[in-house]
Amino acid sequence: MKTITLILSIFLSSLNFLSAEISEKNNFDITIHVKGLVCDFCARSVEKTFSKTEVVERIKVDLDKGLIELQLTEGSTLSDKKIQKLIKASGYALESIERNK
Amino acid sequence: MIILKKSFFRLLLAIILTQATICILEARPISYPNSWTVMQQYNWEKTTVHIHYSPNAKNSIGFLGAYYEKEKDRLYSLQWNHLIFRKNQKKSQSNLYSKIHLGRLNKEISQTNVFHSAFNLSYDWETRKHFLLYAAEVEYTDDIGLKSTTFHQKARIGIAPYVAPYGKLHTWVMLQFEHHPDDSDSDNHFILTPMLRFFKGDYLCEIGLNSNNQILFNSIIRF
Repeated sequence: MKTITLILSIFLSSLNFLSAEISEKNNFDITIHVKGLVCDFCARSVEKTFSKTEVVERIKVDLDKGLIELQLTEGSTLSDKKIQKLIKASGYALESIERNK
Repeated sequence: MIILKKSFFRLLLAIILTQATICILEARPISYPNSWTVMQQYNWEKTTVHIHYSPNAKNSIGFLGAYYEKEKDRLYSLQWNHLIFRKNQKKSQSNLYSKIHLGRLNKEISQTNVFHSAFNLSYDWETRKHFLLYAAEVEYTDDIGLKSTTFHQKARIGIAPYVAPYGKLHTWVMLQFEHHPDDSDSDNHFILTPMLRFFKGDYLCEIGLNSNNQILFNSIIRF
């Protein structure tokens, strides 16, 4: 019985972890594909540049996939033109923009 | 034991912070807009400190100070770094930089201050696993009655043994080739330096030992 309870607990906590992951992924409003993101300094550069923008609440940089994910503050927007300008100011090149919401 | 360990790490951090790198200056002399970079280099030839401000992603300006071990000369100068060209690709990035410094060289032997300048062009190409660099520099010294121009060039290749995600510790194994044809000591005409580069967040350091058994230590902080 103890073993079953333990297995069930592990299973449930895994589900919980998985749902948290999915929920976090869905929280990002914009996914930006960027060219030239090859090192931590590059990632740091775009992170700092976007963080200074008031409408950006949270930013996640994925070097492996060469993308930036943005969560905006409630009710705010960020135009494609502004995104392109910020990427260029960071020193990189914009590939594409996906709107998740 | 714990106190000793803490003291050691504090000392190590202090060395990195206070001696803050030229190494990435070899590759990335400019940081993100409105940021500062403090760099330090220690090698067979000199100890160098750079303090730079990047107003944008294409330029940085700042102070360059150097102490030449052999001659005991001191350099105080202003440096301007400029990104001439950058090619951003999906999995790689390449850059062409120019660096110019103009300053005053305090000559120990003659106890005089002379004009000193240098122009450097460097090209680098980097992916998450591979790194290549070539840099050439011409230095000019206007000594009293003795004007001299010297040429140096260097190349680097690097491989990352593993690919770390953003924010984790990145490690590079690198090999640097230096050519100093104008150096008075023939042992310094060709120098080979195997080195390790460690890189995490805004901090970077490099440790190496050259073919003349001399240590190289570089570090960088960005903020």
